[in-house]
Amino acid sequence: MIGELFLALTQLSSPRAVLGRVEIDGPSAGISIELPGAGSASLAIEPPLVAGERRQLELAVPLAPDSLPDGAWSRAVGETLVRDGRARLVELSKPVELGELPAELLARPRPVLGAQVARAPWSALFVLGAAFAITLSRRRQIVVVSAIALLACASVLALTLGLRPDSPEQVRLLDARLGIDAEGPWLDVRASRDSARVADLASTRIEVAPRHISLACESGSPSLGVSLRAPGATLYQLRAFDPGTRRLAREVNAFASFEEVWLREADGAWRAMGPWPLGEPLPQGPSVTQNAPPGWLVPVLPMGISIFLARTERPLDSEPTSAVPAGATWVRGLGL
Amino acid sequence: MGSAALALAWIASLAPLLLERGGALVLGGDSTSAPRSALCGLIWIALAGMPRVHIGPADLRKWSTGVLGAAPVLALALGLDISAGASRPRAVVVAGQVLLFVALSALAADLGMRSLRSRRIHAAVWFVGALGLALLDLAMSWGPRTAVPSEQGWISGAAQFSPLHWALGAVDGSPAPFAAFAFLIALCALSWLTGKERVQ
Repeated sequence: MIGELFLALTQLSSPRAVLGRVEIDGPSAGISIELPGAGSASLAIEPPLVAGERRQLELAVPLAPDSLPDGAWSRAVGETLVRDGRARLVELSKPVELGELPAELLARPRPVLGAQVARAPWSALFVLGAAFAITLSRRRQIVVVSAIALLACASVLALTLGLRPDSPEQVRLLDARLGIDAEGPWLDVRASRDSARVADLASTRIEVAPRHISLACESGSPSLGVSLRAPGATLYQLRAFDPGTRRLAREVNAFASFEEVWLREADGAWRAMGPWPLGEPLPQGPSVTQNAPPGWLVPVLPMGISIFLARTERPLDSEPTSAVPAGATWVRGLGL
Repeated sequence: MGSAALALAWIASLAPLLLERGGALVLGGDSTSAPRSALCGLIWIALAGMPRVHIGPADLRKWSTGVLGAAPVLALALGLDISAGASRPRAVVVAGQVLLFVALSALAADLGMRSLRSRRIHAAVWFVGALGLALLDLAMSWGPRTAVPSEQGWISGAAQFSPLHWALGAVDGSPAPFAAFAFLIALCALSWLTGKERVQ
C-alpha cells in the first residue's frame, strides 16, 4: 500500500488548468492575460458587454507547472486581472484531484504519443534520384532543368502529403481494475497533441507533458467548452469514468465489442486474441503472437499480473457521439 | 554550383530524411516548426554560399541549376513536415524562405567569383558573418551550460544576421528571417560591386 502510494506521488504531475470566476465591467468584448511561467488565459464575450453592464463569467486559467502554496496562485491571477482594469477575480477553483479513484489507477503510465515521424516513401526518393540525374546531365538546358524540377516538386508533394504519421494525434484510454473484486470508477484519459477541447473543465484534471510548456487557455461560450493549446506538448484530460453495470471478465464481455484484444498473462508473454464481441467469452488466442500491442500503450507495467488491452472504434453506449474523440478508444486493465 | 558541390549538397541534405526513415533520427513535428525543411535548408544554404574555387564570369545557368536542384529536396522535406503535423502555412513559409536564401547565397558566391578581390571579400564575409557567427553562437549557447545567462548577448544579436543561424533556429522554432535576408542582400551587393572591375 505504501509502495503504491509512493508510486502515485512520484508519477503524478501537477494539474495545469482550473476554472476561475471573474467579474467584468462593460464595455468589454473579452479579456486576455499573460501569466509568466504558466501561459495565458483569454475570454471572448459574445455578445460584448455594454457600458455600465457587469457580469460574472467563467474563465479557464493555466496553473504554474510547480505546485505553489494555497492562495499564492489565486493572488497572482487576481493581481494580473486587476492590472487589466475592467476585471476582478471572484474565485479560483481548486484543481481536480480525482480523489475517488484508486491511487494505483492514477499512478499508471499515461499513454505516450510519440514524436511525429514521417518516413520518406521509396517512390518519392526514386523520383528525387531520377530528377537529380537528369538535372546533372542536362544542366546546360535551363528549360529542361526547370521543367524537371517543377515536375519533381509536384510528384514528391503528391506522394508525401497523404502520408499519415506513425503515432496517433489523439487517443482515449480507459484505465481499469478488472477481476471479481474490482469495484469503483475507472480512469478516463484523453491524450492529444498540441491542443485539446475540454467539455467540462470543472470535473477534468489537465496535465501537460513536458510539464514546463506554457499552456494557452481560451474560453468563450460555456456550451463550446474550453480550448487549450500547448504546441509541442501532449495534453492529458483525466476524469473518472463510471462503467455502471458493464463488466469485463474472461467468462463474458459485458462492456463493448472490441475489434482487437491482447492479453499478457503473468508469465509476461503478450498474445493477440483477435476480436472480442459483446456477450462472448474471451477468445482463445494463439500461444505465441506475431501481432504485438502498440508500445506506446504498454510502457512499464507491473509483472506477475495479467494485463488486458483492447481497442474499440465505436463510442461507448452511454456517451453521446460528440463526446468521443475521433479514433479508437482503448481499454487497459490489470487483473483480468 | 559545380556538379560535385551539387551532388554533395543533394546527398547531405537528404541524409536527415533518410536517417529518419531508418529510425535513427527523430525530427518530430508540431504546428510551430518545420524541422525537415529547415535542416535540409541549412545544408543547402551552407554549400550554395561557399566561395567558388575558380575565378571567372558569373554563370546564370550554373546558378539556376543549383537553385532548381534544391527545390525537389525541399519539396520532399515540406511534404514530410506537413505529414508530421506542421502547420501548412508555417511549413510553406519556411520552405519558401529556405529556397530564397539558397538562391541569394548562391548568387552572392557566383557574383563574388568574378575577380580575386571580390572572391576574397566574399569569402571573408561569408566565413565570418554566416558561418563564424552561427558557430560561435552555437558554441556559446551549448558550451557553458550553467544557470547563469551568458553575458555574450552581442554574439547572439550578431548571429541573427547569419542565414545558417536562422535555419538552425527554424528547426525547432520560428525565428524572424529579416536580418538574415538583409545580410544576404548586402553580401550580393558587395560581391557585385567588388567584382565589377573584372567585368569592365
